[in-house]
Amino acid sequence: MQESFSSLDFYRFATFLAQQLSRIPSDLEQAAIRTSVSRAYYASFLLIRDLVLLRYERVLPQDLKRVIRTNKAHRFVARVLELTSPKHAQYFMNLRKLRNRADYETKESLSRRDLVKALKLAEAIVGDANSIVDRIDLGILSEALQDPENRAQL
Amino acid sequence: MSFSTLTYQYLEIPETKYLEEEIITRNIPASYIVLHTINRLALQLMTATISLILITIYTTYIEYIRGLCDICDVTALAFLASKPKILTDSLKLLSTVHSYLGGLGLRRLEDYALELSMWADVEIEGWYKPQIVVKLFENGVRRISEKGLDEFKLLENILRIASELIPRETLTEILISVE
Repeated sequence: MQESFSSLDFYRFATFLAQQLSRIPSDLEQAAIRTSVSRAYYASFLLIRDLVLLRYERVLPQDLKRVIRTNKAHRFVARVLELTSPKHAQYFMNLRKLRNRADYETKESLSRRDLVKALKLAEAIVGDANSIVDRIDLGILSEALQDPENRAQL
Repeated sequence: MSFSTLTYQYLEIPETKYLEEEIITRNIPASYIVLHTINRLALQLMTATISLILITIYTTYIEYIRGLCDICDVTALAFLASKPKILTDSLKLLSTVHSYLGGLGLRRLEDYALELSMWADVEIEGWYKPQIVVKLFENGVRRISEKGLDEFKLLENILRIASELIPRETLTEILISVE
């Protein structure tokens, strides 16, 4: 049986890579910072998504299950966070902004300061993930699904 | 001979009676039309006045917001103009953020700048929000680190202020960042 992957390992790897920055050749520093920022985002995103799936998969409507396993889940996770904890939703959105820069913006460089911020944002989400998911109920999940823009993407 | 007299002759109605009726039928609608016109004009005037007041209030709000932001995106302004509650809440928030940063000893345009713009996701189409960005300059970063803060801690504090100042619904509609 295949062992499942824990999204927390992405966070551990992001932190590990950040700690190794001084040992990485300077011409690879940008690549390391970007990888670390990106993994920090994915650790937060996947952790919330997987916790929601773990707790509610049996009762989730079919269309929601479909959304949550596609790239549309990014927006869904953001909406769920908005409905449960606006502060964490803001952290998530800030982390997504950094991740988008890390993965798409090659014309500008990311600083070590950006990396530190990304790791702190991820830590705040990952650290509170269980208590956030505790506050989620089916009403919130359906409301997130009712979001007109989310629905339009279904 | 007038037309009315001819009519009177054909219909064989006594002339005096006809004249009285003519006066009545011509006068009542006339006064009614005058009143109706006055009412309509008053209503139009009132609507125009209310519109003018609203436009003035809106323009004042927008001008005030523009005055509070150092970088201001027209699209974001247009978006806020379409959502009055978010517009007024953003105004309160921007003003309070300036006061908070000023309290930390940060000087506007020397240590930081406030930006109002639209954030749009690069991957997911149609995912966008107006955003308020605190742009810290090198001086600003140094100043906040002297106070034991960093970008994350500053964001955390601003979010705490925002959650006390503006309703939860508005907080979910705008993105607040520190860069």
